[in-house]
Amino acid sequence: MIKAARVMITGMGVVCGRHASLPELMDYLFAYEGERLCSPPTRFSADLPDTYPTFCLPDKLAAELTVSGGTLSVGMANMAARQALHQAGLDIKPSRVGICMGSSTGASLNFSDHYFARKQGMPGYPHSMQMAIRQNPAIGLARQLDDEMTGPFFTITNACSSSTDAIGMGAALIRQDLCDVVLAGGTDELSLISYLGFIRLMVHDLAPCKPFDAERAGLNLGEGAGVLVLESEEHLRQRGAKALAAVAGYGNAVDAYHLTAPHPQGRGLIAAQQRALNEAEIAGENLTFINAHGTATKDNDKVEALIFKTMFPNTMISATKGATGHTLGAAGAIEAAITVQCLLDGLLPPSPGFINYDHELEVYPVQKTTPITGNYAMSQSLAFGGQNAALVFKREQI
Amino acid sequence: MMYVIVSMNGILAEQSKAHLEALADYVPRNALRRMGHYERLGLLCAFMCLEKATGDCKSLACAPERMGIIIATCYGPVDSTFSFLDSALESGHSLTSPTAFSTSVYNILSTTISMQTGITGPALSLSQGAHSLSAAILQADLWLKSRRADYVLLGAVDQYSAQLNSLISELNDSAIIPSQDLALFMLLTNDADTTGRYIICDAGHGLRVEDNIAETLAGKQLSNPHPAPCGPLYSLLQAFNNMVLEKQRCCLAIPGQGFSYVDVKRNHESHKF
Repeated sequence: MIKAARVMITGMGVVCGRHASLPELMDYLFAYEGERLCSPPTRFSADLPDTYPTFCLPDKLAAELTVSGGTLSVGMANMAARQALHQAGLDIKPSRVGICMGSSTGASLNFSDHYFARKQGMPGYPHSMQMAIRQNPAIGLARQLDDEMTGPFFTITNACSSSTDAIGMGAALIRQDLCDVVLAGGTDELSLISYLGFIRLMVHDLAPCKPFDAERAGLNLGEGAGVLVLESEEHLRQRGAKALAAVAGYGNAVDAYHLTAPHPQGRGLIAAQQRALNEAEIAGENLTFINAHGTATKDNDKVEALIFKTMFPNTMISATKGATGHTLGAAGAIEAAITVQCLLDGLLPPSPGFINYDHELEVYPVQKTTPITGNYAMSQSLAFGGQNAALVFKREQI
Repeated sequence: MMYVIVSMNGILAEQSKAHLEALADYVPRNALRRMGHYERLGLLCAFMCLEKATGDCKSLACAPERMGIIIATCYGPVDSTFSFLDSALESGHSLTSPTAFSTSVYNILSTTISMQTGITGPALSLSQGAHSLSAAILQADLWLKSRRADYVLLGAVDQYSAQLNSLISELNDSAIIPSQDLALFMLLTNDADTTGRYIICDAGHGLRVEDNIAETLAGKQLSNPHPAPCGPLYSLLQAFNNMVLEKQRCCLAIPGQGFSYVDVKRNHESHKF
C-alpha cells in the first residue's frame, strides 16, 4: 500500500432508533442497566402471527425528516451530516468535498406500497415510487446540503458492510488528494421488505437481541444514519481546527463462499482485518478493542468469535447492536462513530443484551463500563454475499 | 487517472432479454439453478471478459486475492425484488420467499462472480442512477493507485424488466429505464507491463446538468447522449465498437439527474486487446 496523507476525523453525527444524536446514544450505552428501547414497527403493518421488536425512529422525528418530500434514508443522512459538520466547525463548500454513503434499503427499489396497490388496480402512491428511484442517498444528501457540490459522490451497496466500505473509500479520496473533505457514512430506513425478508430467513429474534449470548436467537432490525467528516491533515491545519481521531487503516475482502452465510473459518474477514492492520502499520495486539459486527445470529457471532479467540485473544470485544438494532447499510458508520467516541472517552460501555456466556463461542463482550488506555481500535462489518470490511481508528488529537 | 483496459466484453440484448444459454459452458448446471436473470447476465459477461484477457475463463490475470470486483448498477436484480414482492402479495406476508429476498440485494452479482471465479480480493457494488458507471471507474482508479488490487474486474449491469418499465412509464418521470438487457465488463490494470488497446483517462459526474452542458464538459467531443441506466454505458459500447477518434468522451446527461462522463483513448503501445 502507498503511504499517503493522513485522514483525520473532525466531526461525527448519528441518528438511530430512539437516539437523536451520538451523545444521546453514548449516554444510553454508558447508563445501560437492561432497558431495551425497541418495539414493533409502526409505519407499516405486516400480516404475521408474531410481532418482532425493531429499533425505529420515533414516528414524529421520522415525519419531520421526510417533510420536505424526500426519503427517510436521505432525511436521516442529512440530519447526521449536519451534526457532524457542526462538530467539525465546517461550512460545506461546493468544491473538493466528496460524499460516500453506504445504504441497502435506502438505495433499492423500496416502493412496496405502490407496487402492491398497482398490482391490485388501485392508483397507488406514485410519490413513494418516485422517491425510491430518484432519492439516491449520496446524490440526495448532496442536493440537500448544497446543490452546487461537484462531488465526487458514491453510493455503496455492499449490504451490511456498506458504510464501513464508504468510510474506507472516503479515506482513499483524501489520501489520493482528490478531496479535502469527505462526508462518509451510511443510512438505512426500515422497510416492509427488509422486515419480512429477515423474518423469513429465520434470523430475526422475537425478543430483544442478545449478541454473543448463549441464548441468542437472531438480530433485531433498526434504522438510522451515521456520518463522519473526514478531512486531510493539510486542510485541517489551514483552518486551524482540531481532529478527533484518524482513519488509520481499511480493508475489504470477499469470502467467495456462500450467498448468505459467512465462511465458517472467516476467510474473508481475516483478510479484511489484515489489510486494515497493514495499512495502519500495526499488529493485532496493538488494538485496544474491537467493535464486533455482533448481529446475534448464530452464524455471524460464531465466525467472529472464532477469529477473536484465535487471533485477538487479549483484545476487548464490544458489541453494540443491542442498543441500535441492525441498521444494515448504516450499521458500520454508526459503530465507527461509537468506536471513535469510546477511544476519545477512554471508556467502553456495556454490551446490551449479553447475559449468558456461550461455552462454544468463548467470548465475553464488555459487560460494564470499562476504562481503556490504548490508541487503536477496530470496527468490522460482515454482510450478505460474504462481504467483509474492517476499519482501524487511531486516537490522535491534533 | 490513467489505466489500461486489458479486455472488455459487452452484452446488449437485441430485444428486451438477452439469450444467456452460453453460460452453461462456464458454470455447472446445479450452480445455475438458483441464479436469477440479473446474475446470469452479469456472470456470462464477466466470464467472457476474463476469457478474452487470458484465453481461459478459469485463469485469472493475477492471484485471486489481488483481483478486485466492482459492480455498477442502476436498479440491481429487479426480477428478484419483484419476485419477493409478488410472493408477499400472492402467498401472504408469512410466506414470502426467503430466496428471492436474499438474491434481491444489490451486491448479489459481485458475490456470484466471486463464488464462480474464486476471486477473493476487495469487492464493491455501487448504485447511483446515471452516475453509477463513472463512480465505478473512479473507484477502480482508487484501488489500482493504492495497490489494493492489481487488477479490477469492473462491470456495469442492468436488466430489462417489463414491470419496472411499466411502473416508471406511469410516473411520467424522466427517470432512465432499461429498454433491454445491458452488461459491460472491463478488466483494468495500471500494471506497466500489461498492454491493452484502450486507456481510460478520465471520468466524472455532476449534479447540475441544467447548467450549460457544453460548457460544463469544456467543449470536448460528445457522443450521442443516450438514455440508459449506468450512465454512459450505451455510448461506451458504441465508442469501443466504432472508435474512429483518438479520444472520445462518452456522456450521459439527464435534466434533474445530473451528468456523468467517461473518457477513453487509444493506447498506441499495444495490440493485445
